[in-house]
Amino acid sequence: MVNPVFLIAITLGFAFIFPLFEKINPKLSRLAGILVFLTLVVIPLIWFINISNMDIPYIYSSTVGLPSNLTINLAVSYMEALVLLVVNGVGLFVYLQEAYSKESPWKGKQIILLSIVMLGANGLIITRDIFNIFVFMEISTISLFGLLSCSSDDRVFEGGFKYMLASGLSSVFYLIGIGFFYLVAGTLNLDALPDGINFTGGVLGVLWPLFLLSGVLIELKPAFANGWGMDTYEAADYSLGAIMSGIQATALIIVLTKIIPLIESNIIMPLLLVVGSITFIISHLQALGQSSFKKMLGYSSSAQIGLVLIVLGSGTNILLAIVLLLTHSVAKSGLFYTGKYFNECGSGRDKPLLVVLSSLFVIALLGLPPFPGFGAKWTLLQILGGKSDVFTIFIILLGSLLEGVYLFRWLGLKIKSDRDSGLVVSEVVPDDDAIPGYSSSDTIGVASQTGLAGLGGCIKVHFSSDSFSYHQLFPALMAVIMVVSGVVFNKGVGLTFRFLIPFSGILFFVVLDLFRVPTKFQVFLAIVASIILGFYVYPELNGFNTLFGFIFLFGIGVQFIAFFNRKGYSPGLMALTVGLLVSLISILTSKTNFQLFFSWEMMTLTSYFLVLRGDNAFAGGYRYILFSLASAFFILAGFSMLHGIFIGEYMSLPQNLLPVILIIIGIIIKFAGIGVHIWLPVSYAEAENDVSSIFSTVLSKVGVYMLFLGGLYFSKRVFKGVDTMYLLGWIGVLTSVAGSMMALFQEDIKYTLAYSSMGQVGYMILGFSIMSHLGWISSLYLVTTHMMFIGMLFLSVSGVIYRTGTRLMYQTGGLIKRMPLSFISALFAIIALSGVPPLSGFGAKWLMYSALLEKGWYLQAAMAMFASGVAFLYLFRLIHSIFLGQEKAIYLNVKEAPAPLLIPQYIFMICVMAISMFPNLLIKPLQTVIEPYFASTVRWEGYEVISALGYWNGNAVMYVTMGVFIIPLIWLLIVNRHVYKVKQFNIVYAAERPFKPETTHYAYNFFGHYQKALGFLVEPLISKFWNGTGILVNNLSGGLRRWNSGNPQGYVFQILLYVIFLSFLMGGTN
Amino acid sequence: MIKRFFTIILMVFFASLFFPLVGLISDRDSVSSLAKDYLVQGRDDFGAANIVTAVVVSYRGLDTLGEVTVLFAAAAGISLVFKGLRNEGKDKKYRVNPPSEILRTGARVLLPLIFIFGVYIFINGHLTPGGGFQGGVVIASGILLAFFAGNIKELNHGFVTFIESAAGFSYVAVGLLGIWLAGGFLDPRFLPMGEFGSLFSAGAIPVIYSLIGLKVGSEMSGIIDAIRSY
Amino acid sequence: MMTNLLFILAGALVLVGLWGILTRRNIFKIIIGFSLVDTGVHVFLVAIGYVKNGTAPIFDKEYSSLHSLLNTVDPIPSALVLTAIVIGLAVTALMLSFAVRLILKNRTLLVDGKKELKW
Repeated sequence: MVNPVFLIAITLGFAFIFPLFEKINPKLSRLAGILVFLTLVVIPLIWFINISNMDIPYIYSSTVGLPSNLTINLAVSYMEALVLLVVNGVGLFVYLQEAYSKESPWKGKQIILLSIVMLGANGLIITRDIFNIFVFMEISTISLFGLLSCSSDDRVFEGGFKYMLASGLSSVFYLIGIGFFYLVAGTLNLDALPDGINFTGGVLGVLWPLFLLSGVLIELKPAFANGWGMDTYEAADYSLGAIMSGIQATALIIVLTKIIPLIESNIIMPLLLVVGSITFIISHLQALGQSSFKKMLGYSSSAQIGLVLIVLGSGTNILLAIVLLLTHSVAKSGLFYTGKYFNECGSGRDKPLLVVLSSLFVIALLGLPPFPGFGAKWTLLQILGGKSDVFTIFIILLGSLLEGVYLFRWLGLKIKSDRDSGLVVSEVVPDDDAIPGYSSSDTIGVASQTGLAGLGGCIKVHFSSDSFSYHQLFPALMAVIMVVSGVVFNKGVGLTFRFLIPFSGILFFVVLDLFRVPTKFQVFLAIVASIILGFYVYPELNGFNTLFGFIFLFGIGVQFIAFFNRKGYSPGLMALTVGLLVSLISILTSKTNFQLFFSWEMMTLTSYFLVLRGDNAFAGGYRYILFSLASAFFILAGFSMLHGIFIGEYMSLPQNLLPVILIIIGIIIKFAGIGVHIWLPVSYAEAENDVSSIFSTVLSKVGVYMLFLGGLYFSKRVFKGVDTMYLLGWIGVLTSVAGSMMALFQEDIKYTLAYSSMGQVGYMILGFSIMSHLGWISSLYLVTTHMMFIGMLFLSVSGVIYRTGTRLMYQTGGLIKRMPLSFISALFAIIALSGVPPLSGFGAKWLMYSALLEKGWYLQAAMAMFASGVAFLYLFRLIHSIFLGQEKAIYLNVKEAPAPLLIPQYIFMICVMAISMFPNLLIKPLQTVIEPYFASTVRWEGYEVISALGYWNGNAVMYVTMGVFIIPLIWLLIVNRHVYKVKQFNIVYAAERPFKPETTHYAYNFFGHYQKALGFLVEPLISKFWNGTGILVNNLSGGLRRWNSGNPQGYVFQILLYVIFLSFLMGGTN
Repeated sequence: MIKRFFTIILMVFFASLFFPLVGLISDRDSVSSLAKDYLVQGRDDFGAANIVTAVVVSYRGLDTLGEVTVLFAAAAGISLVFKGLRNEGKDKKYRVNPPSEILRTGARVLLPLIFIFGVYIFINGHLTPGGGFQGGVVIASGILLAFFAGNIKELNHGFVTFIESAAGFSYVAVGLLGIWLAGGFLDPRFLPMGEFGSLFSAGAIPVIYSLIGLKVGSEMSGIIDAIRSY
Repeated sequence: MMTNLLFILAGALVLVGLWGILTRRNIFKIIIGFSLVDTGVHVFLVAIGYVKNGTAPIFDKEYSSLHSLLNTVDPIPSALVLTAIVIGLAVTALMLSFAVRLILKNRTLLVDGKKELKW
């Protein structure tokens, strides 16, 4: 086995000989550098493999050939080998980046210093001597200072000076600690400690741990004493940021793990918990308000270290802390580099590789799948949940959410298109002076603002020649390694191989993108893939899963056809969409909470990136991911308290109320219940049209699925007479009212549909919360049919937007002649949606009202009825504004929507018709699904469904309604044979030229009068609330940032304060 | 003023951490058990008359290697700091007064003595107080004097780098020889122990100290040169 | 007795140094303050090694027997201090060089004269 001392000898020997070597042959010496850094990776790799194979506990070496208690020892266990592997890997990565950098490559002293940085980190990790730790700490900081001085930003001397003061003080504290430690222990060797050293009380018993800890903790840049570090991060080069957070912080945590066992656990554990929590939350808050990318990452590093401290302090498995630490190390250094290239080049739309890499690193940092941090966080929370440590769970999730706030903001800003203002542009009635004069060219101008330019809304990505450079190869390699290790680790935590296979589909489509396979061919493959997936998965589904499996597979599979309409090449589109489909299916096939949550997060991520593809999607995507994360974290918190029992097995779940409430809140956020709905309209509207359609048809149902999965488990008594389902029912009905009301006043058609979708999901929730046979049937019935008719509507509207280039209803009109097929589809969808006979919507409503009345929820029934009346109004407006009425001059040459958009609409239409005619096609299976939960209260006679309150015969309703329509139609045809057609420009009104032609369009401000009457109901109170929350958090962040005043003396003051704070945590010396 | 007030309060708090020590600590009557081991075995283990040297160079040799590295890194860092400055302002020239007669003559007498004294300190490190660092610093102070007295105008960078690199690398190499020829890394016993108390004794300790002396001397000279040539 | 005195000296040096760091605005004075703190800690380490009436742990004619050897001071803190001094020197030197750059850039000796990095 390789002696650990070789790590030191190799780096040091290289550093010493390098100046001579470089004089002889610079090129060769740099190559030798690669060899040295590679050796540093290979040695721990050998150890790692050997230790895990041969059950050798650890590799041990005492430096001078004497008994180990006399000398300085080096030891490598499984953990150290792993950490060394990662840290040295990051070191190799930095070396390759910098020694071969295009502009100003590192040479001479810089390479020497990098090698010494690695020496310091390696020494810190392997040494078993408390003074030797001090020496290596100094080695690594001093070599860092040397490197700092080469930064391109000369403010680095200010930051560096502060850093030196702070690190000088911390090493002084550490030395004091060593002194007291020696006084107490009589040795400095961690392997030769006398027994019972950690039980010494008294002054000395507090002083040595206090100062040893102060020394190490301050170097780790804990919150409220870390301003010096952050200032350095801001001015230092990216590479140094990577070194500080990826290499040094990691090594120092390992030092901490050596010191922790020395100190009595009932002192050190709470201390670490407090220190970690403070750092985790405050640093994240401080990061939130940063405009400097590097400083933001600096604060994020500090916070991540806080998280590791929390894990160490919570007394759970130390390996979890290590996994989190290493994930952070790699992801953060990767992000420093991708961020560097990103910040140099502005918007990332034409840099797909950078986009992918940054996204992966951000995801890894946040501990989302498929990276190792995900499994580690999950396991951690499970353990904490088992101990009912609600507070720690809360801290961890809150901090993670805050981290998401700024990391995703940065990512979104980098990915957004140049046209994207970054704000939510919800189209309202334009101001009077918005349109200065009337001429057709002006109208086109408006149209182009709103969408003509991005015809069809597809991103045009072109690979610039330098987008694959040597320098992005290594971050890419790192990302690949992280993904692989993440999959392996998460598999260890609880994913099966069979479960993971479908996810390889994402990889497959990524590879297709790498080879620039045309999107149309990819779509074809995706359809094939979804069929294969169906065959593969469908047999193992049962109960609700079968139904939702049908919705997910059929819904997305059919809408894949719409993607054929894409022109050009859309990289990533199919990988993400297939990823979304696979995640949704995996949610259904999950057998454990971990699998379920893994798929849930994968779904969140893939859909987030799908939203971001839109042209103005920054704000929408940002809201989408934040609320989705919040939702996921609520669910995660709930899951952590289920003692590992799968949520689908509702019978055996623990009966306490808290997890139920947490999970329900998570689900409410996910289906955009009233109050937390503000993410939905923006993201649905700003995603690309075909993507919005998938979101609205399929993705919106996943929250409902989660409810049905838990089923009866969610019904818990909160307090006297009121149970969770009663409250949820109210939320459902209010959501549907609010959704419909807000849909009413939108000018932007996609907003209308998005709000409509929100309102409809409200009905589904209401149906579920009734907790009866009929209620559930109505809910599931609506889930299925809504998928179809909202799909028709969205795709039909997509066709209109595709052809006209505008999303504003009042700009279109009279399209019935140009796009008759789209019109028919929209008409059918509207009839179905608004719940008038004869189509399926009527059945859904009928079942719903029956269930509500049966339950005795009369007020809710009235409100639901009101909401569906409103729904009819906005749908009427939609069809009236777009398809009926006056034709617009500029749209005279508009053609029918392309076939790829029409085909899925008509497939859905056939299904809707079938279900409407023969309701038992759907309701019979639903009954069998619900049977195990509730006994049936409806009965079937032929095509007639009979409930306690009445009966419904789909067939008969259809024929009657048809009759009612056809007779007047025939009559009209006979009577109106000689109609005088008024041409478009036959101005019959007056000789006056209208000043603002838009306002004369009847569709403009269509429901203005209702708005006057009822507008107060949709006043953006909720938007105001969330904006206020945002501002509050920002102000908090701003206030906390100001604590780091930038004054070196202030920082010294903070450090001393920190030591005193720590002494209080340890109970003081007196 | 309020700032100063807080500073005083902070200092009082900080000092109060240590107050309880005052009555508690008294002079120790004996050394720790580990130190006892060193004192008893040091002579037999390494044959060094100066036990502190045995501890510094051998028992805790890794610390000393690290210490050399720290100095090396600091020297590299300082030269980088001042190099950046040189790149920035090339046109600045300070007028330097020529050295006085006394300085020049005195330096001519003292320089050989200083260098010899430095060498003496580091090769006798295992016998008497002193060692590589002290010797190296003395040598560097000689270099500083030579600069002041104008005996050398410009440091021969190639030579200094060579000494520095060669000495450092040899130090690591000696350490590795310890693994292959003796018990472990930095084990000085691969050379004969020699007669206790004489110059050529204590195995490789004098070799190590000489290498350290050369390295520290050249490093410190390098630092002086970096600061001077700005 | 001796140890206590040394401890008090060390504590005084550390406190004076910290006071200097916290209240002087001249960068060089701050560095001097830091040096004082460092020195104080070195004194503290030496004090820890003190043994009553101990001598230097070096063999010579008078102290060559094992018994008398045990009357020496503890060699370990001495060794540590040697290392710590050199490291302190390195840190101080680097700090001074940074200070030079900082002063030349800001054109002021005051440490908070020109804060470009904050928040």
